[in-house]
Amino acid sequence: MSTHRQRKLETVVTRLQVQYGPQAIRKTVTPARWPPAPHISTTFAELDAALGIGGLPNGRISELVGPATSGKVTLAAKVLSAAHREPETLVAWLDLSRTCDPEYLYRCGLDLDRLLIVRPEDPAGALAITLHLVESNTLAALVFDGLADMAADLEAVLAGTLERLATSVTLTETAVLFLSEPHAQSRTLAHVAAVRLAIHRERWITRGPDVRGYEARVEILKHKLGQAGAAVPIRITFDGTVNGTGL
Amino acid sequence: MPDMSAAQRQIAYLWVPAFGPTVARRAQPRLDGRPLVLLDEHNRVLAADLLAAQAGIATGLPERQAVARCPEAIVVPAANFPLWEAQEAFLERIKGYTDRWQPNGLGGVYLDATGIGRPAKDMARNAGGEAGHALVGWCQAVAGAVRSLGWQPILGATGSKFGANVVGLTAWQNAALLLVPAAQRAFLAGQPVTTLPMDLDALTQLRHLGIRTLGQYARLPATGVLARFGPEGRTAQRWAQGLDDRPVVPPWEAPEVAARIEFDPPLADRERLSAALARQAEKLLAPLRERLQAASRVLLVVVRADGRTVTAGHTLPVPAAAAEPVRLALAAALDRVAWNGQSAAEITLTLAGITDAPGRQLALFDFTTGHRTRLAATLDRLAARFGPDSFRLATLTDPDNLLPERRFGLSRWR
Repeated sequence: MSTHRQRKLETVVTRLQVQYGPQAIRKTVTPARWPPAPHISTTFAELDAALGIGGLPNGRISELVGPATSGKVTLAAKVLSAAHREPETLVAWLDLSRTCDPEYLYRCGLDLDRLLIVRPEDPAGALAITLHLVESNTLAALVFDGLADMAADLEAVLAGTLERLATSVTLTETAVLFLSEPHAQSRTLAHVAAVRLAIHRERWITRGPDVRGYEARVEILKHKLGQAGAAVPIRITFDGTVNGTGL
Repeated sequence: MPDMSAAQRQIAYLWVPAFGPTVARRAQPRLDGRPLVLLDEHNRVLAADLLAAQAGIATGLPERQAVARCPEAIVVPAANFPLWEAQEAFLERIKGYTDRWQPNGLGGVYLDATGIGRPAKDMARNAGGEAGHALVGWCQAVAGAVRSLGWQPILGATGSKFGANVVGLTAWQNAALLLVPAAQRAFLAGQPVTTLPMDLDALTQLRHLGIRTLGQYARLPATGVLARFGPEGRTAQRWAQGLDDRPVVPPWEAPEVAARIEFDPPLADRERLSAALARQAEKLLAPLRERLQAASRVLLVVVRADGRTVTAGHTLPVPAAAAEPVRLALAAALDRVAWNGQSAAEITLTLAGITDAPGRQLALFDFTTGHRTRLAATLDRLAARFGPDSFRLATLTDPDNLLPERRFGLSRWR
């Protein structure tokens, strides 16, 4: 910026501060001088790089949107397995739809001794439990699976819970992941989520008649802590264990 | 006192976990079995045991907030128990080992061990292990003296007060941890930022910024820290860098600050007297807050309109530099003045017993007993409300079974 324009800017800033107080306008610190946001790796290196902060953020809400068999459950499970790399960390899977397969989660790399599976009786209870578990600040990550099973008449309850959760989670270390489907997305969730990823399966990987895995594409729909818009292909293979690589 | 560099100083911090609640339970065994909270005379939390601290109850919290955070806790006035007698007995045992000791809340004390042997050559040494080192032997003797009273003390030692405090709190599992002063900075770098005695707003800001450890905070630019968190934030940053040069100040040497207020004409209205004292106290407290210090006692010397001088004082349950606790202490001191119907012509306000500000936030964000224990407490409450079957643990029972649903079993979370 030229000296003349710099001086004009400083004059305007000074006048604003005199009129409205010194707190009205301040200079921000260069973001590059602050350390990166705490995060959990997705275990897909390309996706971690595209997210900019190295994974999904701790203390924030993230949403994974995708139809059935798109890979969102696998991606969520791999995030939890990354959290388990730290010793003594605990994670939770809120299984509202009663479709959680612990054996599959084990093959994704989770330690079942440090996985809390929550099976609430009803969606309202699920939301209350989620809130309490997050506010306890004892979990590294929590996955909420079954948002699509929420009845339309619970939208108000969901909205209220999400707004409170969005505030509470920032005081904790917990990364909260909601799994939702394209036909049943919540507008409040889309608003409060810090990161929104859309995932859809592109093709199966086969060897002869056997399905060995699949390739999916993850698009960053929203990212409050980084750049949105990138689309990253990922490859998931079944080999006794569930492996993933970013392509 | 000669100016000692951090590399030469050796300071130990000895503390007894849940000192106050333990004294209370010894006096009344029926208090066992539930979380216990002790209140001071202003109905604020003076001390809380482990379980209550896990629920987020910290020193200074109002009674109603404490009850809301832990409804099952027993909340009793601390005045019902011989806390200060137990504290005196505890300190009496310590005095024989050094003439420079400084109490730090209930059951905690700093000890200046400078000059006792040479610093250990290794990174850290457990005092329960090898002997044959003067400092280790001295620490063992001090801890043994406290143990003879029936306490289980924990001791940490390194080159600064803040470092010794953090080392001592971290030595929870080992009972003692001695650190070479030169290794202090590397040790502090990995500790959580919540060990700093900063207020909740500042700690929340740090959390939003992704600053989790003392090392991250120490590496921030000094000018940025000063601009955002003020002089107290900058002081805290120096501590995080291992540059805490505060000496161990025995109680009889604790400094004080004073100010005089004249009333012309003499003033009898209590409200106006309280307001004037509060304004003057704030001017004295602001520099203390910047240095992360706090006052333990307020003293009023009142010159009445009839020429007589009377004094009254009040000891704060916990040293404080915040306006509200000092205002309450001033009100209590004013109540003790023998007015005899007279007005005040002059009041000298003294904040005495200037000491280090106690850390308050540990229990709020972090605790040493592990996530699993805290999660269990949370799940107990949730299970009571939503049913125990809502929280499960999975076990692989038959991983090779052809049917996926038969490969695992679910049991209640333990």
